[in-house]
Amino acid sequence: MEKSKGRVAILEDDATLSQALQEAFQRDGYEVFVSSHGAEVSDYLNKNPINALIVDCLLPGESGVDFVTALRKKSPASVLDVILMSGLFTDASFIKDSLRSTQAIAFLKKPFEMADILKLVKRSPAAMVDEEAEVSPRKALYQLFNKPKVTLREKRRAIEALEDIHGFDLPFLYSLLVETQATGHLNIIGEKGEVSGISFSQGKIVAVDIVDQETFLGKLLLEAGYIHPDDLTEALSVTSSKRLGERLIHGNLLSPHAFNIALANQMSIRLSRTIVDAKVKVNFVATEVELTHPHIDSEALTLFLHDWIASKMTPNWLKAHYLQWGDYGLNKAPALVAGHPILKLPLLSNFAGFVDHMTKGASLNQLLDAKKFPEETAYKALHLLLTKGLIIFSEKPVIVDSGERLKTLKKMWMQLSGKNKLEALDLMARMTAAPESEPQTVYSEFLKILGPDPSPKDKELAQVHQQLKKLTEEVYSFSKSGNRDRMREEIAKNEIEIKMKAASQFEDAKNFLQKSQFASAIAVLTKVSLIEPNMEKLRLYMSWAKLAGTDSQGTKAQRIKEVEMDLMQVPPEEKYDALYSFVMGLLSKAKGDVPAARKYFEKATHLDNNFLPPRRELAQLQSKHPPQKDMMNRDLKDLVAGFFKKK
Amino acid sequence: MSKFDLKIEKNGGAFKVAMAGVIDEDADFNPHALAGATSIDLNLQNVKSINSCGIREWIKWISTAGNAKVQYHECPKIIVDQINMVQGFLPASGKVMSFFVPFYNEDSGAEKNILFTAGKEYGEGGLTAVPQVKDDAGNEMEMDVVEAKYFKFLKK
Repeated sequence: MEKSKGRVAILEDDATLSQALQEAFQRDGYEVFVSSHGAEVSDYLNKNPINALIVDCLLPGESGVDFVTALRKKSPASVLDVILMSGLFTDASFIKDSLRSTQAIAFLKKPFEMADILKLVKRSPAAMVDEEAEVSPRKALYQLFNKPKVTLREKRRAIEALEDIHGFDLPFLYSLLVETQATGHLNIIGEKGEVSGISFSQGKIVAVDIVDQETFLGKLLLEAGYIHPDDLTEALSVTSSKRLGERLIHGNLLSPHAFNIALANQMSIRLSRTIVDAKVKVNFVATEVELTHPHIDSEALTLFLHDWIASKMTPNWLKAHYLQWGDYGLNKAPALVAGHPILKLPLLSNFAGFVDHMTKGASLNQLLDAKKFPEETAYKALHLLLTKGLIIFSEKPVIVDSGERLKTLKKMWMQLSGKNKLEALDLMARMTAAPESEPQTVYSEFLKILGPDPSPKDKELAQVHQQLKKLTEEVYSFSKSGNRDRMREEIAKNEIEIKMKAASQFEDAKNFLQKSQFASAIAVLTKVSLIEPNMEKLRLYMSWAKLAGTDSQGTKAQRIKEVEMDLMQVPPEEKYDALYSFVMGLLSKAKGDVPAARKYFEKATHLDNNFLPPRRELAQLQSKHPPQKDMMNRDLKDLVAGFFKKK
Repeated sequence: MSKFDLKIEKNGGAFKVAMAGVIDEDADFNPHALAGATSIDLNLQNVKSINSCGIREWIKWISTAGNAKVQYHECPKIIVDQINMVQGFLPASGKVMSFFVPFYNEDSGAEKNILFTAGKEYGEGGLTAVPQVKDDAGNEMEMDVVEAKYFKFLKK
């Protein structure tokens, strides 16, 4: 038997219309209650949850508007959709006032088309659970690569359907727009209303506009060795209406080619800055955009995607994101052939056999449970391949037995237990890829992930399933109450306090480092990493402490490995900084590569003249290993940079 | 020819503004400050595209309207998207008098933009009627927008 889409109540005294409405809704799969008396409808509402209430404004002896206004005390707009209708009161001011006082979703002037009113009523969450065709907007977005060809309209619809997305969804969006040869502007609106944007032309990123317009250009040119620090200082000291790059080229201090490379790197840093651990809104404006140079193409984007996924995406976000795909298998896209350049990137090259293991036909949960690869890296490597569309999920879940299902449900329970209702709602939203602002969708999508009630014979499975279902219902009830906003404010306040505490501890750690108290610095930085794992430059300071505070050879080898892993997780925008060059110098020194260490320390002093630690290191190297001045010992990059420098 | 065009017809404090073309970093709003206006009617039918720089410039420019009564007319979809998402794109007291809604037919692939007008298809608070739209072959067309998102600004 077809499952009911939910219930609709109709308060209308016109028998012909109420009968027509009743028939239309019943045909569409709803249970319908009809009455011409407000008291009867109130009584029905007390006993039955409904999807929508349809109310005539003029009833015998009472006003439909007053009835709904009174009803709102018990059934706020977030819980009950109301549609008003009238054939008599149809002037604009009445419509406006009644919509405002009743918070109704629509006002229909009689006569109206039945199709119009049917469109306005949302199905109940429980009914939506059974509809396989219903896919959440975020899930639909991530499934786009499953199609052999994505039309502009499909792309636009998929992006439009998203309400709030997470900043960590942006790499996927960029990749999708690049791989599908999009042309237009992607406008991104941050939580505080700040607007940034990416422009695409024929699948290439040609411009990145962010609110923070720090150019990085000087640092980029110095870091690449395209310009001498003195020349840069001189160019910066000249007053001119020309931009820095133009001034340098005009003064024969820089070649246009080197400038283009620096501009491409600048674009990559700006792009990286858009990927934040926060909610964003996006809209895509398809329009003609000129293909300009420099630009970021699919190949270059792959490297950036790798760095962002390695450095920015948190394991918790990835785990929650992939939970909804736990029962799905993975397939190789035809483009993923042996020797594909992506396989040479660290996230994949360090784990031989990863692709074959992940595409051997088992479900994602089974593959991850096998623990063949470190969990965090496995999630990141998988995400990189999926973001590039080189691996795609199977269209339908792989059939899993009750033992597998129990494991999955237990994993979900572990992730959710210990969380308050608000945190649980946020996590469920991430797990289901549904917008947290739509608790009803989160609820129905989460029930879909839980799946149908297991047989009571599977005692443990039935018990965990029941626990999760109960929690889902509690979270849904909570989401409709005012407590949600109050709790969100509380949490925001607590977060500010925690962030302030972490920032203060971070400053302490920096002081310890300046005083060469490395063990104390490591202890404090470890505490900070637990509170605020994404604190800016945290990994760099930690690497400094680890490298400088290591004496014994045994520990050194282990520390070098740790630091190399840490540095892989440093976001691109932190790499054009004196601290990064200094840490790279320490790493080279620890590995015994003195020329490289010297080069990095010199670069660090060029990037920040007031940063003393690299100067100290250089002085030490100078006394222990005086530099050899022959041509053959010059770094290849220096030689190449020399060609690009005109002077 | 400039890819952005803005013309203002002033009749005392009543400004009629017609904007066309591409609103991006090259769109210069500076010569078109709205100070002194008591009412502004802005026709946007010919706006072709807008990017993030254009959005920021727009917000700065429209804020020069001060307390003038602002009304947007014939907003294309790209403008409606910004009204829905970007705070300040439509001033707090501003009103949308008409806007386009894309319609689509899955089978024929036909697309049409239908103008919805205040008082006709919608009022303050929501839609009041959805017109029946047919493609050239007489097939019924459906709204090609995510309704909950596209009409959100009507509830503001």
